[in-house]
Amino acid sequence: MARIKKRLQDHDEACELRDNEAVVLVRLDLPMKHPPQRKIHHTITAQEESAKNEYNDDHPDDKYFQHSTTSAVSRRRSVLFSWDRQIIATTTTGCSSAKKKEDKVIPLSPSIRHKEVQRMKMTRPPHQLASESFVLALGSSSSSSLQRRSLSSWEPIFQNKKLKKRKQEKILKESTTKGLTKKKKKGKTCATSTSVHRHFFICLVIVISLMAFFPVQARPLLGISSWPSSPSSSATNTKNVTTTPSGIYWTNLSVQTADGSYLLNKCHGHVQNGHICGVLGPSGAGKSTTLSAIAGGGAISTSSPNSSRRRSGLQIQGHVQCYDSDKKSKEHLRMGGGKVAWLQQQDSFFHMLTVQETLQFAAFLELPNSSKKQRQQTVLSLMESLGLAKLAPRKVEGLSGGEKRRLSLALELLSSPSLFIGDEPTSGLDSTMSAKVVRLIQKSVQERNIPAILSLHQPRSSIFKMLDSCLVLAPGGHVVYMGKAKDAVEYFTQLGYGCPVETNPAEFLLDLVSVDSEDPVMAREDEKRISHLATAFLEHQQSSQEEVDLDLLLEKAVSLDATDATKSLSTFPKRRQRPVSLFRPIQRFGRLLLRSWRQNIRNHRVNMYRLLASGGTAYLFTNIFRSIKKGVFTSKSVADRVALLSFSVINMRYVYDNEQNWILLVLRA
Amino acid sequence: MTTADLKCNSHTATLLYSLMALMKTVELFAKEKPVVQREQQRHQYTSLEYLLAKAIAEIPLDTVFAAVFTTTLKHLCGLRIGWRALTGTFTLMTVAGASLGFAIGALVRLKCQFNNILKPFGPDFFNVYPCFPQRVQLAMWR
Repeated sequence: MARIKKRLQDHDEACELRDNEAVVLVRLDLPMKHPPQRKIHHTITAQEESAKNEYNDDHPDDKYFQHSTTSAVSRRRSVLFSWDRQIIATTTTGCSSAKKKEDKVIPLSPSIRHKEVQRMKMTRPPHQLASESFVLALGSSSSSSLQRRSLSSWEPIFQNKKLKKRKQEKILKESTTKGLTKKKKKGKTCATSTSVHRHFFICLVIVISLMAFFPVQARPLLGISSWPSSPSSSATNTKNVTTTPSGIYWTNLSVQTADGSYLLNKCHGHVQNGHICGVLGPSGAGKSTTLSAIAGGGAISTSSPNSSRRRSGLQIQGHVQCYDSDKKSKEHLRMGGGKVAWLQQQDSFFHMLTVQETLQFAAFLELPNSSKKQRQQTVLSLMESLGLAKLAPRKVEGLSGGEKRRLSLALELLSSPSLFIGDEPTSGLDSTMSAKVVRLIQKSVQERNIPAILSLHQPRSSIFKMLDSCLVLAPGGHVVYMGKAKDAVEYFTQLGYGCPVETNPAEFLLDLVSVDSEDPVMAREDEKRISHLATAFLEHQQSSQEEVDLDLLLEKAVSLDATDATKSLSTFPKRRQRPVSLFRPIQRFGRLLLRSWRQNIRNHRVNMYRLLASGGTAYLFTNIFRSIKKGVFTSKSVADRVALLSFSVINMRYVYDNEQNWILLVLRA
Repeated sequence: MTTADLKCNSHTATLLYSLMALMKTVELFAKEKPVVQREQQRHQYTSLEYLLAKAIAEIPLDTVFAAVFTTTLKHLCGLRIGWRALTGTFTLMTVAGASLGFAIGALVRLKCQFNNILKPFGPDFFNVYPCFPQRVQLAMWR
């Protein structure tokens, strides 16, 4: 004990044991000969100091020391030893709950710490070494009891300024007195720097391996949006575009009917990842057709560049390719593969299920390779990100229009799609709610780093400002503009169609491409203007073809480098994919059955009606049965009565469809 | 007491009850079609699974309501037939009615079609034709 005290005093002059202070001796657990074990050997208070003022260095059982607090102890001084009883660090903590924790760190020589790591390296298996040196690097010990304490109480050794100064002075003295050569100095500094680098590298490996085990869906919960190497912000996306293509590209995309007329004329386009493209145009301009062609066109281009396919009488031609700058890969999109999220105009759900049940069921179907916990985490994170967490226990039938939109959005984003398409997502909503929905879509696609294409019928100016690019379509499938939304007005001004002051740019664009169907003279003028605009845009696209070619060249270069990229990425641990269970069909059927059952049992209105109808009908039939008597032929009267009853009861069956029906009102009352 | 009257009455009750189940299920497909279509597009389950799940989920409730009906009827009328046999018959008829509703619902593609076509003619068809063809004929002969 005296020796320890002396050692402590060597490192800190103020290190004297006070009254009611315990010295906790903790030795690093290095089972060179002995296995790790927990033994409480000594808890030495100041009162006991006189009795135990000797500490036998050669004690055979001094493998491990751990503290035990007593009520009399107000302060605890923990001393962290290396295996050969070198003091690594000490800390002083108040034991009383009334007192605040008072940490005092007496750091020691960094060379000891380095020595310790070297020694551990000799004796420990690599996986233990990594974790323990990590703990040591943070200034903690390998003792499990100490690990439970806050790591901040075991500060790194370098943080004590006094000691650092002393150490520097010592080094200077040694260098001057002993006349060390520069080579030796270099060697020493190299040794310390390599140890620091090693610790840093080990820490890095541990952090990366921890991150790898977190599911991707859980990262938003942890505040991790994506890998450090795959930034999702729009700023970095812009940077990526210059090096690797990202987002969806379509070239020479056109849709023709069976008779050869164009529903969509040939056009090129590009929407970056995390960006929103708005498809604007009057009714019948081909907005939905364009969206369908973009969403399903990828499958067409897989076979050959100029291939075509007839689908429901329509001939779609062109390339559609989706590039992922993070994965450095491209893919051909196909509807129905879970890669295209298509938000429909109308929301359709099972109305008797709650929001959470709806999402959980969808997650079960969409994510067959995920475990139950992963699915739950995905659903929870999605609900939080879309503001559905508060609505989780509510039935779908009680949700407002905006809330239903959000739920539809959540359902589409469950399967981590590569492209988001919204077919008039703001239809049926008021202007405020529309802006909210588009903002939500913008936030979601930026988080997921995917492109979004929305067809918008009458967007307000705030929605138009949210758009990164826009595609303006005129009747007859003419593409009048495709480019940055903020440059659209300027482009049309150059063509001689200036936007009036204080006019919504979206309305201005729609007016430009609308045809007046009532006035034939105006209609002719409108058609002339549209054909002029279409021709001008075609020329504009051809003049800016170089940019597109550059993009395509970049795509080719990246696709060639894709194999190297995958090789380099393969060093990271891949996310574990659970194999699909053999009992999956049974589980799926069970879920379907449960959904149908919930849909039935929770329909209280209909169930109540059926219950009353059952009882009431039985009562009426009883009266009819009683009226039947021996020797009296009442067949005709029975038939009449039953017919009357049948009509009344079956017609009552429609009650639940018509909420204004008085019977329903009576039942509700 | 004429057996014809009793038969007529009991038959009417059975048919009436099965028709109630039919009318409940006849528009289910039309209502759920958009959701199921979205899920089917992604090949998440087969149509057979969906149909079986829907049909099986109907059975317990149909049984409960049939039991309510038969228990009340037996208690008030003092029918000699056993409760199990009576309830079983009514349950079977109810399930058959629900299945018929599914079949008709499958033919009707949309809910609007159901509202426009099936609703106005449905009750008349189901009441007059299946239930009382003989009665109508008898009335005509007399």
